[in-house]
Amino acid sequence: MGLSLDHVTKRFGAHSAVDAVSLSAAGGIVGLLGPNGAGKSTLLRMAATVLAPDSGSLSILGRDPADHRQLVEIRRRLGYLPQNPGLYGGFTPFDFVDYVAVLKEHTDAARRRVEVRRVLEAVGLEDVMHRRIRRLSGGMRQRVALAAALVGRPELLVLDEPANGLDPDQRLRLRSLLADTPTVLLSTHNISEVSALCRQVAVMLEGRIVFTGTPAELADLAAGRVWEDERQDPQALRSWLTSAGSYRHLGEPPSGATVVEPTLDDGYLLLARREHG
Amino acid sequence: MTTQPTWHLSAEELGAYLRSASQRTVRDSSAETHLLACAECRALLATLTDAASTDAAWLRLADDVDRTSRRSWLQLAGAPGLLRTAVATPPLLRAAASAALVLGLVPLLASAIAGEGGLLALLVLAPLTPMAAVTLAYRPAQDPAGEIGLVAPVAGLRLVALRALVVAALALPVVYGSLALVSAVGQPIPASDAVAWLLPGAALAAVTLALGTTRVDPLPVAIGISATWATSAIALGRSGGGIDARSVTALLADPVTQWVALAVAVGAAALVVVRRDEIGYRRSM
Repeated sequence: MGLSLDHVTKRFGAHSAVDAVSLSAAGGIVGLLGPNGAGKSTLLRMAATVLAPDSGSLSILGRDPADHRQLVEIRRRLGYLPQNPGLYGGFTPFDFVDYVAVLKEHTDAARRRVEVRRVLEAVGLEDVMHRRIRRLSGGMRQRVALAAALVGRPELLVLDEPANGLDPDQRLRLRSLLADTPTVLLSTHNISEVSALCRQVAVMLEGRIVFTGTPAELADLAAGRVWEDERQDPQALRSWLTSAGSYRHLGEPPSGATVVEPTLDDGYLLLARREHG
Repeated sequence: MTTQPTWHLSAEELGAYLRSASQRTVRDSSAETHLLACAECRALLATLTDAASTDAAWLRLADDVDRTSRRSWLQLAGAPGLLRTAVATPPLLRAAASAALVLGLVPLLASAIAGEGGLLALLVLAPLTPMAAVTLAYRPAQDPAGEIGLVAPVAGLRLVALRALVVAALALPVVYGSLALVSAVGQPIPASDAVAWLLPGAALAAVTLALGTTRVDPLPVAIGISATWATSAIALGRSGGGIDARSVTALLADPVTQWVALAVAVGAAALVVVRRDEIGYRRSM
């Protein structure tokens, strides 16, 4: 069931933050990739029922969020991590996740406490669950919000920049943490996260989806169009200095150029360049 | 992301732990701490005793551990989880505290400085306070975790209405306390005058709630309503030869004012129910 958007548009004044977007996420982890301001967060807010679209249709877990009863059913099965999750600094992680669990209709106090402990242990916060949130690091706060999203074993997780503030080890563990959720839609501007986490990727630029496919297919967009040289090439669409000291170029390679294997970054950059003309 | 312990309790140690159930030692406490974190040892423990009783015992133990972290004021006897949680959230406390401060301190200060001015200030501020409290409670800056709560099934009308009711319930005794205090210092206030502001206050709060279902920011609207009310009170005072507590009370208690307030309150409340799925307070979106 997952999530399905059909020509969904969201405007703020004259600006279309999301412009006639169609996207399907029917299982696994789907990554939404794009630069800041591309409309990713607005799209995720609609997928999380925070915002209603101005036009187009949206189906979440097989239900219509425009219908009140179905909206409540969706919210019972949904977990959401906003881009900048605000927390109550005076609460402990346990109290905060307990608060969210109450809002998620976990009315039985004993069972709720078991669930709160489960999600806090799942994100590795069992040692600090009774410390005030204002005393926790940024990464720990991010994990508190992630734990709140995981309450009730949601069928759909909508995560806006979930790896923000996480160290490399925690980023690696994030994948196994998300594996139990049937469908995950996450946004990021970090391309390495997509290759590490996602089965499917959608690239969003200026409010529109310009690519959907696997991470390998995104990389393949740049097949035969990446070469390396000791010097800058003015004919290249994009050139940048690598850590090895050579220049990596993107575009139509000149004859005799040393064409190299494209990466996900190459595919994404080529796509972004093509879209921006 | 759970870190599994690197050591485990032996069957003998677990047996000793079970036998000391009624008289736990420091060593048993250490075993308990380890068992809380180690699923493997809990599984071994379960094989040594009846599984159901073990699960129940662990639930009780874990509950005891967790309860120690909860603040005592969260333990409102018999209060349902939602009410307890809603009352405990910082935005609500800040809104209620702001309302109490405005209603309690401003009239008292005015009273100390200008005598009857305290009562006048109280009567002018009282109908505005529920609206101000509701407006404050649902500002993004006041509720940083609002977006997380917004997508929960209980969020929306139920949570917003509950918070509004709690703010009103907290504000009422403060208003009456202030009225009693100002009345004791200055002139006595008839009970009918003391409740005249209630319906206008409820109407303004309901309008604010209804605005929370639209893209319009309630704050500038609340400021506009306050300015209009203050201007009306001053205009009435001038036309009657001067603004005083009696003229403001007369305006509030006027049947026309009361009927209009009732109609606005009912209409706005009905609008909130109809538009309950649009309830929100994230103006930055």
